[in-house]
Amino acid sequence: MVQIKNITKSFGELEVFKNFSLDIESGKITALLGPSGCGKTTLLRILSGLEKIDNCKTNSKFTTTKQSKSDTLPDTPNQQEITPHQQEITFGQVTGVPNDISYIFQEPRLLPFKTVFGNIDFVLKQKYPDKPQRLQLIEKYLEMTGILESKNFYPKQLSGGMAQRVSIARAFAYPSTLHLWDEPFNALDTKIAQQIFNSIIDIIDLTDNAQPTTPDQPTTNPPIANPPPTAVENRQPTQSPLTVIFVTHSISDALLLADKVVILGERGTGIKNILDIPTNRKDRSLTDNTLATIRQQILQTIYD
Amino acid sequence: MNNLTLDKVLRKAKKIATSNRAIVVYATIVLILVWQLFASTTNAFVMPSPFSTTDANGFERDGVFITFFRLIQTQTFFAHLRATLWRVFFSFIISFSVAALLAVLSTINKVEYALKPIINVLIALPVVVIAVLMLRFFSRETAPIFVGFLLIFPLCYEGVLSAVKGVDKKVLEMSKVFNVPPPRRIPTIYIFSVMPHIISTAKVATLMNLKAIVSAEVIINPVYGIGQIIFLHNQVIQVTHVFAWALVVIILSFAIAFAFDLVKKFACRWQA
Repeated sequence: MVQIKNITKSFGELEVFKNFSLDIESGKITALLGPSGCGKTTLLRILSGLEKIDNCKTNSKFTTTKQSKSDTLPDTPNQQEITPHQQEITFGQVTGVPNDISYIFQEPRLLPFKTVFGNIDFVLKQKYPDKPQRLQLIEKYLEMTGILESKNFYPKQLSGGMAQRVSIARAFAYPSTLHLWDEPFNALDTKIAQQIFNSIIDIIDLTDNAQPTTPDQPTTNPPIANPPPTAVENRQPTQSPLTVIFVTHSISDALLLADKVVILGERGTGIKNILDIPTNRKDRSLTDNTLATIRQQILQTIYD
Repeated sequence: MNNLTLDKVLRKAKKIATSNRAIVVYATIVLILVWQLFASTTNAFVMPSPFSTTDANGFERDGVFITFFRLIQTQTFFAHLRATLWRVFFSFIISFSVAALLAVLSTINKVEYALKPIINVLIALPVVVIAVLMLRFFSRETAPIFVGFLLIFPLCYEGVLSAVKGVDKKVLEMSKVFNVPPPRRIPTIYIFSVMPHIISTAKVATLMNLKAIVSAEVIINPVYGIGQIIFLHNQVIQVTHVFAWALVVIILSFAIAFAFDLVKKFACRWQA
């Protein structure tokens, strides 16, 4: 479980989080909804280590406490290390974040000088030293996102939607158990988005009943099916379940994909509501009554 | 069938005739014609003609083009050319290396602000002042190298600095999130990202360097050098020869620019 405890984050005078806490369940998709500027992206950046929290007790550049190190860190600040001034501060802490994270950014963030294939290969090289293995994996996820035919294209030759699909393929090909998605489907057309939705649902459901393993395990020797006909089978049932934290402005995307919807209030006000979506992801339709009720609740929370 | 082929040929001819290269050729022809027209209204000591002409007394005067073809056949031509090109090459290498090193340092601490005064002074200093100063420290043969070095240094420094600063931070963040190790992340992203800017800066710096060194040679008078020979021809009022050597410099500039464009096209083919 990813635990965010009492974190505070400001950008100059702008306070985004004040003693913000949130628990993210493992193996679930959690959607973060909220108005622009409320800190959804900032939260993902904190979890990925790209942003420091203001009240962190370590001097580490990577402010989130990685799961592998969490056991050595006490829950409360070491009294011998802090000054009387510091005692007034409530320390913030982020635990349960694995070392390997997949991130889908709002923009594709592709290397312009590498081809589609080269872009994914660039992040996988360290994890999979074996080239044929990487090739197989990359092709699989490019197929999943419907962009295999453009694997030798440079980013400049791709449309915005195609580039974003490469970034989605990169995130799925990378061996991680925590996915951070920042409005990943914005640049996609409905048909492609639906295709990717279905693949994601298959992957998540395959790992739903999986036996949890340590987060670092997949990075050392990631299992690959041989030869898997679909992208879904790349993830073996023994692998840790995927945890997804998903920022979106689309209530429909959240309703179709998420297990839990966290609605944030205006900047600095924290969480307004948390709603569970109890129905099976595969059977969901935006027209069914349960989802319609939840949609109503979400809208009510947002406009309250 | 014949009509179809003719139509095809005509369309292709039209395409060639209106291509960008064709427009460059037309513009060059117009430029030469304007030059010829201007030369015909004045005497050869002010503006020599591009083509050979016969004067009022029946004497045939060589034009700039024929003088150019004659001088490239002389033994001293390559000695002058070689001397100037070596100076351009050495001063560019020294300047670019020092500028690149300082530009990289400037991105990691406050070296940028410490260098601001010297960069501003170098930008403002005229060639002649630098040439006179360099003559106090170096021989006539080596002084033009340092004139070139100092003149293009600010350009190289600013070019490399802005290229390094312009590296996409978002891409660096992406590689950090995906745990790409720094020994692979930093060279790959930085080198490829700065490459197009570096090649463009190097091209402009080399072309400027050629002009600066020829000017410095005119002032400093080394034994060999394009600037030196231009100076000598000007002293004896051989204006046609001055123009012919100027043509050599122009052709050299085109060749250098073409070579850099070729390198950029190959090294940065992902930009095409």
